[in-house]
Amino acid sequence: MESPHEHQQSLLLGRIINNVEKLNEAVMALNKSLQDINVQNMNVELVAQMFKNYQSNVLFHLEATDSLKEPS
Amino acid sequence: MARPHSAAARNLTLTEELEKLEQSITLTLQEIDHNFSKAHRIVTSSILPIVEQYGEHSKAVWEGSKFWKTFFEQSANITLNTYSEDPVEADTTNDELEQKLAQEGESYGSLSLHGDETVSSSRIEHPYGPDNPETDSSLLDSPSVAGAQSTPRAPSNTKLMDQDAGAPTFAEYSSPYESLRSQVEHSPEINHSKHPQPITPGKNRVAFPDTSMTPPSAYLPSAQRRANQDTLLHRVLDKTYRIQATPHTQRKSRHPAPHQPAARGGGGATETPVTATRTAASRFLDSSPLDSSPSEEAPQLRPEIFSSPMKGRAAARTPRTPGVSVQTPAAKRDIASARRQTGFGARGEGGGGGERTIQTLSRAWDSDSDDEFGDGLEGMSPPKTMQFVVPQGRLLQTPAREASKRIVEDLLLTAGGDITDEMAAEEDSPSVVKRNQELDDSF
Repeated sequence: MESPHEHQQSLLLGRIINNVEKLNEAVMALNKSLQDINVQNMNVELVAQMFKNYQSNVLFHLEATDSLKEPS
Repeated sequence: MARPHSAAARNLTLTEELEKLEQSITLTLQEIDHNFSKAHRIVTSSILPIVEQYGEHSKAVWEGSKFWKTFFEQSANITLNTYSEDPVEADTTNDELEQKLAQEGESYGSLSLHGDETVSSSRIEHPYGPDNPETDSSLLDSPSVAGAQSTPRAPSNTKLMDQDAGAPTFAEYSSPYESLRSQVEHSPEINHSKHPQPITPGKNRVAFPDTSMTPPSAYLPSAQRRANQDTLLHRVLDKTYRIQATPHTQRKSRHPAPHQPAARGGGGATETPVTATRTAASRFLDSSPLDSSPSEEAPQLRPEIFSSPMKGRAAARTPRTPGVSVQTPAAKRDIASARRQTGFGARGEGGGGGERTIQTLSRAWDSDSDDEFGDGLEGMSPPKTMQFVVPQGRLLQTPAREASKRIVEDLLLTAGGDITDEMAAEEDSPSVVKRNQELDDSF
């Protein structure tokens, strides 16, 4: 003999599991998209680093050659 | 729960208490359920779209900075590729986890049947639909995911992540045998990484920098192992992202054959291998700076040309006019092709000396040609556009050109629409005509 509570709770558990599945999938999709975005942004980061290096190189060169001038 | 006063009541209260407990359990479960569904709703309705927007915007940023990447790459004469490095064991463990999860999934499935009322599943799943094809990230593409349809998929991935991060977390999910096996596999992996094998590293990633990042261990494990010496860019949970710098010369040696026609290639390949190969490679690769940047410019320039005052309406018709247009098409292509190489040689490495015959043909043209335009068109478009672009400036400047154009226009008008229609494809001819005239003037 199954108590009504038990039945109800099993239903609820089923729902919870279902929701967790969906939430999990949602989070996975979220992670995936974030991962892709991050991978994509790595290229941007690379460019930024290259620019930064270039800037420091230019600065060094200008300072070494005493041709660095204040921006007018 | 409050204790009742009397003993008689106590019996009642026991059942009551049980009842209350049951109820509270039910309430708690409901609350849990509600919270999960709420979390799910929040993730799908608010977070995901924002993340997608973020992705679009970051894509736009990348579009903007792509040129500079190619610029730097070209200046350093290398190709930079970002790729991810995965532990190899992921594959094997995935399968087994997958099996376990599949078994679990059956039980989940039976339970989940009860909860039909849950948040509209169809609505939820659709938003992901478009995402999945776009993002070929390693997780979903991995064989483990493909097998499992409902629940098991999610846990498998999460476990995957954990595994990759480190061995101990992985041990939780798999049998001790599994952990042993992973360890065994782990050691050879390291060994592989130590002796670099020169052949493949370029091949695997050179041509397709973006794709190389996405495919997980399934396709690239061996290559990734070899390339461990590359600069470390990021280490995110399970993955290690590295940068690989591939010199352009390697690629040149590979690609030259397919694109270089034999006629001019005979001279060019021997004497100016660098330039020739670069052209070939540049066609394939977005990353090659010279091509990518100018190719973007080219489309912008064309409309201007068409809209230029002098051409006006007659521009389309001018081409077919006199015999000039007829001469050009064949010769023009040769010249254009020659110009490509010569232009590259002069600019890139001074290897232009190789094609002298071509140079002789295009000598006059080179004087006219604008280097940038020539390069840009090189990769993508047929020679026509190049000629279009180049002469325009000259034509505009020199009155003689305009005069000749007007003459041509008149001729065309008198000739009527027939000619124009046949020659629709030869829009380039006008430019050629102009050029020829120009050359005549100059010489």
